[in-house]
Amino acid sequence: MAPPQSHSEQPMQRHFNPYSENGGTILAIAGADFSVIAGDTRQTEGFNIQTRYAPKVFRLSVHLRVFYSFRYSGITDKAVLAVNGFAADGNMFVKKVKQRLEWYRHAHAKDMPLRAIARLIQTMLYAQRFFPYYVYNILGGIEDDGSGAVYSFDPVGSYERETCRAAGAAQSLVQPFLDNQIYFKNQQPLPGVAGGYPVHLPLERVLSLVTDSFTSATERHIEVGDGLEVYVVLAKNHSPQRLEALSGAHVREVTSHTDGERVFVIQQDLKKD
Amino acid sequence: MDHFPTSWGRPRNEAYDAYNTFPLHQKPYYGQDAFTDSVQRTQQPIVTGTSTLAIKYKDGIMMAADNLASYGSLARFRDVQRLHTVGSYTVIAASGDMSDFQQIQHMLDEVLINEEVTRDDDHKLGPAEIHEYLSQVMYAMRSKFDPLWNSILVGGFKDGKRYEYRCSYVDLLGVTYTASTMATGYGAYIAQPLLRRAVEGREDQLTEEEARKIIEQSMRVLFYRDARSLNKFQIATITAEGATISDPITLDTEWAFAEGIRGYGAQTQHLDTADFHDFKAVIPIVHIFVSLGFTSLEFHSAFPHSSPQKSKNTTVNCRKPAADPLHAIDGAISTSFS
Repeated sequence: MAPPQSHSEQPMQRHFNPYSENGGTILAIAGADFSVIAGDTRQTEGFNIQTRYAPKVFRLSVHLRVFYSFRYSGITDKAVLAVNGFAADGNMFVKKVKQRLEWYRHAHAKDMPLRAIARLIQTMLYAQRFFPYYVYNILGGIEDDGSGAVYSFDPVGSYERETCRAAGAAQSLVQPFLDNQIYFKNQQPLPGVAGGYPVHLPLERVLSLVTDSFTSATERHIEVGDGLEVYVVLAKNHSPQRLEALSGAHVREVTSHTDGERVFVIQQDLKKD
Repeated sequence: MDHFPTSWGRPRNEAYDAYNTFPLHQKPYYGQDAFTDSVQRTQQPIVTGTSTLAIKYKDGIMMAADNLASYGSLARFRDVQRLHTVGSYTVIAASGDMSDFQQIQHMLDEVLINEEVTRDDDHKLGPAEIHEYLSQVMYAMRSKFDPLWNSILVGGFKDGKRYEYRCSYVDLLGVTYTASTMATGYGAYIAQPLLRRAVEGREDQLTEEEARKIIEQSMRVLFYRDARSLNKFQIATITAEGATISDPITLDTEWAFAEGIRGYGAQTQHLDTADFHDFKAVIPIVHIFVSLGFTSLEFHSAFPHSSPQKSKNTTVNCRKPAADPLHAIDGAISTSFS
């Protein structure tokens, strides 16, 4: 009987690693009647910048031309999904979520509520439990009750609704800042404010926090930079006036109707070095 | 469940029927079948192509890849075409495993036959479709742990008004992106900074002649720096006129001793323009290995318009930053080169 092969006699087998990490950071903050979802646009691999513009934040709108012709009130404009991690998985995941939302629309002639989209994402992520999408998801939008919401996920589907969340390369830089500025951690209670600090911040304040988060992350993290794309989802009765008056940034409305939720995109430059 | 009928109704315990008393055919063995060892996945690339480049310019896309397929460090095949036209509007360029690339070529040819020839409905596949198809195939194969070991650049121009011209990238993991300058392999490290400085922000002004100069110069630098490259390469242009791949171009190279070179490392002494009459002699020896520092030397000579930033990059390794020797060389070389 032949002796068992010793370990060194085994043919060398290099392991193919199906994952990569493409840098960047995403961030979402919920307000009382709005939600802000942001991401930088740099895509990296190792020390290389692959491109300066690769979007990480996506509207989960269902593009059904036929519905526009007679009724558009139900088109999903209330949900925006940010994906971060392994870019190939991220793009595939967004594609599949959009497809599921379209099927839902066809089957039920209505749009999926935000909390249901969140659970759908949980199910889709956990379905890949043993070959996960290497992607951190943050879902932002408006709930059925008109409140702004943020749901954050880990790669295998654990999720919760939160007020704010940062994920990705600069998560460890941005999240403590948000804890301090949004949850008022380590701050003295404000006199005259119930509970010591406000529960929701106004849109202007949130937008400036987002900008500051990303400019700071760009300074301290090499995988963050180039451009910032901020999606703002406004609940039905939120006036967009203050948003339209925003100076120094490129604001563009991406919704075509004004009687439902409205979505705006703000594009800003970040340092490219 | 066990789908093999010959296994049905037999005891589950292997030891129970040790003498094979059941009047059935031999139970199939579910371990590895005889051919398992012969089924191989690409565990590592074997015959490989190195860098590929692509840039946008005023009229479309220009791409380049040299003609070498290496076997490790052996320059094994010196006349391999790594650019491939797909339909009428698209060219792809591949680095990585050349057999996998040939497989991809066959797949694309088949797609083209099915989608364009058979249907014959005048709908043609453009670069966007080719890129989408490729990225789905690459992602699917990586998900099967059987990757096609390539990085592929897709360049195309279809109906300029509607689709815009584009160049995009897909690799063995299915990672994709688009940009105005792209480079794979060693080119991502060596040529990409050169391309970015020459092209970014000037995509709509660059003429074909300028683009060609940029590409040729980058291929020259790559040949001098990348040991797995060849000074014979092809250039593809994709414009409104269509897609063309040039005949192989062979670059003259210069390996003479670098006695005339000044301006880097410890040598920051007085510069004499006369030292730089022959531009070609400058290339192999100028050698500042600090990110963009070395590239500006070799590159700006050819493109005086893309003026070097007087940034920290250009003064690294120089004893006398104030003199900015690289800047001086830049002027000197550009006069002798043009």
